[in-house]
Amino acid sequence: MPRLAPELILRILAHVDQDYNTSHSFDLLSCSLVCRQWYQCALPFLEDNKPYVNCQILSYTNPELERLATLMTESRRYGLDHGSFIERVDFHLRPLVTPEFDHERVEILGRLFSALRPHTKSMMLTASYIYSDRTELANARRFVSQIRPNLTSITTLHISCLDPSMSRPRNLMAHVFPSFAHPIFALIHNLRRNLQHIHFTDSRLPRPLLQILGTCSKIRTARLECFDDHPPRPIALADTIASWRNLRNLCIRSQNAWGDRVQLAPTLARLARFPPPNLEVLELDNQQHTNRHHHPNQSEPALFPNLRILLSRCASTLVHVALPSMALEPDGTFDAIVGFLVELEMPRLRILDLSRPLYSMADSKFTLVPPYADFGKLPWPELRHLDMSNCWYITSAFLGVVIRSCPELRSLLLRSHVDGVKGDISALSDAGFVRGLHAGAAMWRHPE
Amino acid sequence: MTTKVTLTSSDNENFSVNKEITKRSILIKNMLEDVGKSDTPIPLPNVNSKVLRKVIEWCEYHCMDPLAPTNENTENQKQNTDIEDWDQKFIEVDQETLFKIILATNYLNIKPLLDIGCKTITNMIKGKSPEEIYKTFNIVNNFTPKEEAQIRKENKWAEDQ
Repeated sequence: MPRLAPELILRILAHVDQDYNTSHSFDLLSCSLVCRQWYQCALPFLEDNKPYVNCQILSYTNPELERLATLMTESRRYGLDHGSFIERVDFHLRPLVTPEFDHERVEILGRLFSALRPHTKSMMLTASYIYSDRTELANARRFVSQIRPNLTSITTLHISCLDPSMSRPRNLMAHVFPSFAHPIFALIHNLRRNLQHIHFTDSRLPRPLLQILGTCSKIRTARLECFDDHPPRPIALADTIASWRNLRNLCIRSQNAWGDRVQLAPTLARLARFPPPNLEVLELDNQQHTNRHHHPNQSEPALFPNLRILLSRCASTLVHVALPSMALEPDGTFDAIVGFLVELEMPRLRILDLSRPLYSMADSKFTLVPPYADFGKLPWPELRHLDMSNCWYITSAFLGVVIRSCPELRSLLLRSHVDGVKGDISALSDAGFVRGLHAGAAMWRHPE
Repeated sequence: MTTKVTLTSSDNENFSVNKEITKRSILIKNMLEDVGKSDTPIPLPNVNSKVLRKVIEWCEYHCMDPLAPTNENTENQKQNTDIEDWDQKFIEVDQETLFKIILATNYLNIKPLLDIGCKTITNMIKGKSPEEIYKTFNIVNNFTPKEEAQIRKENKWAEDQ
């Protein structure tokens, strides 16, 4: 049979590539494993078009997963890097751990994860709030024990909907007998040596889990969103965070999905004593404090004083700061916050997000006209983005100080209504900023 | 009155074809423009008579189609893999002939027919494993298993010493 020239193979693969747009077509992967010539021809298409970049396990049937696992295994056998086309694996726990435990699927997943090593480094796991059904928990343990040896290259882990609280009696034993723990704990324990980035959403972080997380010494990014806390845990949480000496990015946000207390203040109180030495990003949000019906517990430490200490101790390394609401704090007025910040030297600061401190502060007693004209210069020479989109009555004098002090400033978000800025804002247009709209706010951008 | 052109296949068979029909081939069209008025047969040393007959059959059927653009941008290449009924029947040939048609249309520069050939191969690939593909198209899998490659590498190092 005549051989096809590379330009003809490329032409054929261009047609195969059309179907490849759907993540359920593996034909281009198949073609790339036919021979060296086909591999070289297919590679540009594979690199340009990555439908499996976030591989959604839930959407694949067993035969499809089998095919993907076989192809990836073959690639690994030849020493090729097809695993690099799958950057993240997403899967939901519940469908895998139903009483009719799907042995076949779990076995295929084990082979797939094995073949993806060491390229696939990110995993998103929806824990599906598995806690009440003993069979589900037992199956979850079987599943995790089967796959975890093949996941050691994972460096980024995103877990959502984790609620191990119903298995709390077991959790009490977890730090003594790890086999009693929620299966996800065992998984994280297995990943601890390489884990660098963790992200929890809609999840609870009980003490045994925090203890395991505390052993993940390479953590650089921690995004802890929508979790609840109970009185003893802020210390455990803060101690865990403090144990991550490589931490660069810390985000603690709460959407308060559970209706429970979220105690950012005691966490910061503890963290202020042991601040991460290289912290670059600090994003804090505490929706509860914007709730005007919430009355802080008298024994609860105040947020603002502890935040001041933390910011002061991390000021030299911070690049991105987003502050939480402090509306109900006695000293947490916008005046006090900004008054503190404008004196804080943050030589590397590029992004300052002050959109939350006055969030939902329609009440006029929280608005103010700060006398910032007195400040000669703001100590943030690298600032590029300033968000004050929920702040009322910013003075033109303050804007003038911002423009003069921050030569690198490229965008500034202000309230779009006339009450956003008091006085003349011509300083912005004089400095070359152009007004646009962004999410309902006025965004002033510098064209450079 | 339509003029005819004589095409000579690699096995020296002559085909007298309507000049307009031969212009489906960009190669022949350019040759005709270069030689001007001439009765000299056009030799096609890369196409045998069996394949040339098929190609002429396709060109005659599609003689009323608008000429395909000559620029080969990505959009033109990226079409769906559907093939019209007549073309589907036309291309139902043994694999060797299919490959020869593809090679011939590539040589003659008849892009629509080349696309049909490539789409046919694409359709044959659908759902197949690498092993099934290289068996179907009689391709030699020259990948070396990693372990084997590693052993060879080590042996080579040993031999070099």
